[in-house]
Amino acid sequence: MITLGAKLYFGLSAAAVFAAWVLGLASGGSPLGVITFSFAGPVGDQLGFVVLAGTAAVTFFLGVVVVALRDADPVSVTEVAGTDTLPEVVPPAHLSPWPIVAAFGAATVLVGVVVDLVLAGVGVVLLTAAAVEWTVGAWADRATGDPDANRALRNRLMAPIETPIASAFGVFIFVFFASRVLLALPKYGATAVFGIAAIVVLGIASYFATRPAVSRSLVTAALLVGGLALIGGGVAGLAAGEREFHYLGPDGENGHNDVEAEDFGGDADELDDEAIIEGDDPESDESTAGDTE
Amino acid sequence: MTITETAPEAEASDAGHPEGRADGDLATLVTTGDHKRIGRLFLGTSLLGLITVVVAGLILDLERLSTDSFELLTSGSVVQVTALHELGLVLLFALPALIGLAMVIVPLQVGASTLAFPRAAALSFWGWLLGAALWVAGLLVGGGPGGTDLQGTDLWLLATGMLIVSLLLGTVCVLTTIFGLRTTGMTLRRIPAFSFSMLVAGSVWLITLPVAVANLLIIYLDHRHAQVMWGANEAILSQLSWLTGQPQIYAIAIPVLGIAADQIPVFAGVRQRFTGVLMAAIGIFGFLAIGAWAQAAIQPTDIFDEPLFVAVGVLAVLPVLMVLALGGETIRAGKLRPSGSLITALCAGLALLAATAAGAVHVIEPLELAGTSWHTGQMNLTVLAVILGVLSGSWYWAPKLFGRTLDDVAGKLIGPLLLLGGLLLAVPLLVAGILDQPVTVPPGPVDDPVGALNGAAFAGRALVLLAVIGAAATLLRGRGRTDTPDDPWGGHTLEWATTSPPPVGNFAEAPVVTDDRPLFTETAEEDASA
Repeated sequence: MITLGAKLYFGLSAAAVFAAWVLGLASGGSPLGVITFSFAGPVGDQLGFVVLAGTAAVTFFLGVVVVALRDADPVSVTEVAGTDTLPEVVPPAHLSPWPIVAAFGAATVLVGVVVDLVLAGVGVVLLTAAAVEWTVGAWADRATGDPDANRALRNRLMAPIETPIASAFGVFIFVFFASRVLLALPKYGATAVFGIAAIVVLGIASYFATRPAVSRSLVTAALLVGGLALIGGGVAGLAAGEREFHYLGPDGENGHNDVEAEDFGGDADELDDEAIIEGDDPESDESTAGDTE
Repeated sequence: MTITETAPEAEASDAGHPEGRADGDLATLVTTGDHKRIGRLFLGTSLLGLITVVVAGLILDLERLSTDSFELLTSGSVVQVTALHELGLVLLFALPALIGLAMVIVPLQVGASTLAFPRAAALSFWGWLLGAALWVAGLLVGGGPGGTDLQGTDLWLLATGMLIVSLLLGTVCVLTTIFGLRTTGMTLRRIPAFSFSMLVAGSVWLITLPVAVANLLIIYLDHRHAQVMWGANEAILSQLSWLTGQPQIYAIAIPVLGIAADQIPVFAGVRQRFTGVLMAAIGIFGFLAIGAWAQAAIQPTDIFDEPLFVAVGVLAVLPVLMVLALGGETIRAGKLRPSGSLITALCAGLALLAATAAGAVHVIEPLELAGTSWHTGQMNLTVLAVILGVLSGSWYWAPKLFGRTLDDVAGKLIGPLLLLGGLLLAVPLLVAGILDQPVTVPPGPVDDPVGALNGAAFAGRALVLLAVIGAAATLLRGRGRTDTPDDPWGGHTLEWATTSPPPVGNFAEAPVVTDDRPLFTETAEEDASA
């Protein structure tokens, strides 16, 4: 018996073949070429013909699959499986961050391909992490019938790997982005900004510590805002570039070996080996003015 | 006669389950694998997308009304805003909204405890959301069709691909649920009309949208490396215009037929008759909506000269008429209770009928409507049908979607208001098309009859925007009821056999059905009559 699903897909397939023939003949194809799908002659509008012929092939294949599986009818499935009832399908027992991580990874790859391949590499790392975690999680979810036991099994396998990697990654993220902010801000501005940031973090943490019943959403939102602020600041710092640095020699600001660009008429090449100017354009006004403290 | 072995007052407790927390819990929201929550996320954000693209349309309308050359926009940004409006209607609203609705309702209709691949569904949503953000960002930095920023254009092209792939992933989840997770006794012939229409629509999307991805890949490679095949970015929009033109635009409207067909028998209080004919009509409409072959920008000859294109355009009106006629026959056989959702569904059916009729006229070559604003009017009518369909579905299935019924008076007002606004928008554009107004925004003032028509179209779009904002506000507000009945309408299909809102796992125990209207009983009929 042809099932309803098969009727749908075989019907689509037959209609697509007919449409391909009509299109091919009307657009200059030869009858033989159209009927033989271009083996024995031209088919006219190639793009349209290929799309319609492809549609016919795909839907015919789907029809065959659907016939073979009897529309995946539950009764048929139980007969094939030799069981009295269908295997139970249960919704996920745990929340999972990996779909959103994978989506961020894909988006990062996209931006990276356009802007900077290093960023694309970061995206690939995120995608890989999501794929591994997702795979292990999916395996563990089906390990036993007890969700808690499955969870414990997954944690026993992955926690020794996740914890050090996540810690190292977290430290790296913090150091990298915070350092970009520090390097971009003026000397005293960096001190002020991070002083204030420290006070804010301490204040919020103290608030949460004194209110154990505070909602999860508030904590999550605070962490999210903090993380986004750090990353956003770091990206802005990267875009702005580092501030000008004047290496003042081994004796520091008050020593006698202070060397500055202006002492050489703004020509950085004349500085001795002990004095280096980084990220500075010696021809610019700011450079020649220099820090004189 | 009953037919389900599941007690309608199925009770289940979500206490202790991580998915049991409210939607306001941010951590749960971003890590959820619950199909109802993911569906709601799709629905809510796609409504935001709709408001965005309607505002873009208003800007284009204002530009059409300008008395000088381009006033608000430049010649390049007109193309950018056109891309945002036309492609946005499909990619930021229609497809995600329908997928979101299906993600919530389809598992309930087929008696499944969950959506197939629920975490892939979550990936589908987040991928779509981030893709949409990058898509808009690409336009904002000066990329996309008509833009001048090369990197922005590359980003826009890749983001369009990400949007489509994400939506296809969600479609796979829905289709797999329909095929693989139906409950015992739920044969394909017994699945409700909305689920069947999603089966047809999803199949069409899976067949055609990968062609768009291939288009994008070719455009991207050419744009990034040589720009010898298609130039810088002038041709991007024309190469993707088949997504928003006939016959492909009908692919987004297939589920509208299912949404209407599911409601009419319920509110008429009778069984749906000629179910096979109904399914055949939806299937035929699905075939006629396969439009990836009709790419005017690549076709060697004018697509309007192709007999197949003309035939498909004319025939598309027939299955819509067939479904509406079946609905009329059902209404005649029963006693109609006009609810807000039903009125909106009927408005959606009428809008789709108008869209296919306009499409049938569009393809008649001697009328020379190709390249005129008739195309824009016809597209707007089709999207109007989708907007009405999505809102109708949201009102009808609100107890399952949101755990509460929505304001019925608002439902009764919003549908006709949207239809009125949509007709006020589309009909002037159609008439202006007859008067040879081009599909693109002209760089200067237009003659008075066309100018007046453009003014009317602007007013219509403003009305649509107001109605959409009103509907979104009503969806957000609800009625605040906590005692929502499980089945407020006397529904016939399985989604009404569980609680409102459904628990995690949807049903307390797997239902077993032996009929295509599992909950249709004499009592329900009597309730309807009362």
